[in-house]
Amino acid sequence: MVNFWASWCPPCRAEMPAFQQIVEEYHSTDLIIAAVNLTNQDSLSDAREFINKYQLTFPILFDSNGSASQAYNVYSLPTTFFINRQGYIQKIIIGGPIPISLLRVELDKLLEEEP
Amino acid sequence: MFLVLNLGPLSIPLPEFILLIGFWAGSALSERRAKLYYLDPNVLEPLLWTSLGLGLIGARLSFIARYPYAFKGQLRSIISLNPGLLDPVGGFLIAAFAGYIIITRRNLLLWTVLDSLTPFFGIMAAAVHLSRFASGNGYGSLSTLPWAVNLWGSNRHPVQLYLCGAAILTLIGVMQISYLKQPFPGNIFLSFTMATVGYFLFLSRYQAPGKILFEGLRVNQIVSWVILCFTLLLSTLFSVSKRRIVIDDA
Repeated sequence: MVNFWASWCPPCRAEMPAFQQIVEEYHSTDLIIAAVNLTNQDSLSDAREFINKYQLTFPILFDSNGSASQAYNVYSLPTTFFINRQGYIQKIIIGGPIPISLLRVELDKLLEEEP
Repeated sequence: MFLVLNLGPLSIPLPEFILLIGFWAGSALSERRAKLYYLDPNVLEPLLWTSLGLGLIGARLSFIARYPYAFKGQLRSIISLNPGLLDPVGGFLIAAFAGYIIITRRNLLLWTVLDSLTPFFGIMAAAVHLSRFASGNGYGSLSTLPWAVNLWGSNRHPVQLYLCGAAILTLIGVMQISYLKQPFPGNIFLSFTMATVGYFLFLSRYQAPGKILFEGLRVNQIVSWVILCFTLLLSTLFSVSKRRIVIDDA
């Protein structure tokens, strides 16, 4: 699952604890969560402060030149991509915060696929 | 995919916006044509809005019933505004049931109301296919045709646009026959249903493989055949009973 976020975006901030909870719930599965910070539209220090405050343990990537957000056609924040084992995007959720219930349902669908 | 419509500082989720416009346009058209069926146009608006409201509640309850484990320790999610937590099939069934209850309690004629609501159903069918094109859902099978669209890493038939075009043609056809004298109440709605299922069965061959029940037969094709047979049966029964009444009168 790939999530695009910025520290100044209230729904992005609101959904991060849910992602952390999901990482802990699904630690024994193949799930990978990556959160891409739109650093070209954010302050690196604010982003780092946010990560430390919420003690996020999943990979946080910094898109310093906006190339990742451009490649994924991200027009608004937050945007979350659910990608299957073959690497194909299966669902895109624009806006947030995404409830944990919805994350569980969508991720279970992906994890049920044959490896 | 066209997920977002950017209007100045606003980012509007396009698939949901198309459905909203479809609902508004469909209800407005049905209300304008209600007089053709000697119905009070003011009856249709509350019927549609109440069914929509109850359908949304039903869609959420149906989603909870399907995925109860997802709400473990997350009871607040039950009232979340996120449309992802809705089950469209459950919502549709509950909205239809709510509509039926309202029609019978108000002593309206079911088949006449369905005839007058057919333009609404027609526009909503087109809106649903267009919305699915915008969201990327219900995508087509692989294609090398020049009008194929690139989605999920391959060129595919824009099957949602084929279905949307067929829905618009069906709507135009239904609007034309609605001016003619009808053999029995419900003829317009049943003709619309048969045409809709017919084009869906034909065009679903261009859809990417979905849930398969038996070998090669998809769930939505089986459901379509059942609806088609049931609609044909109803149409024949109404036609025969109308003919009997005419013979008895003679």
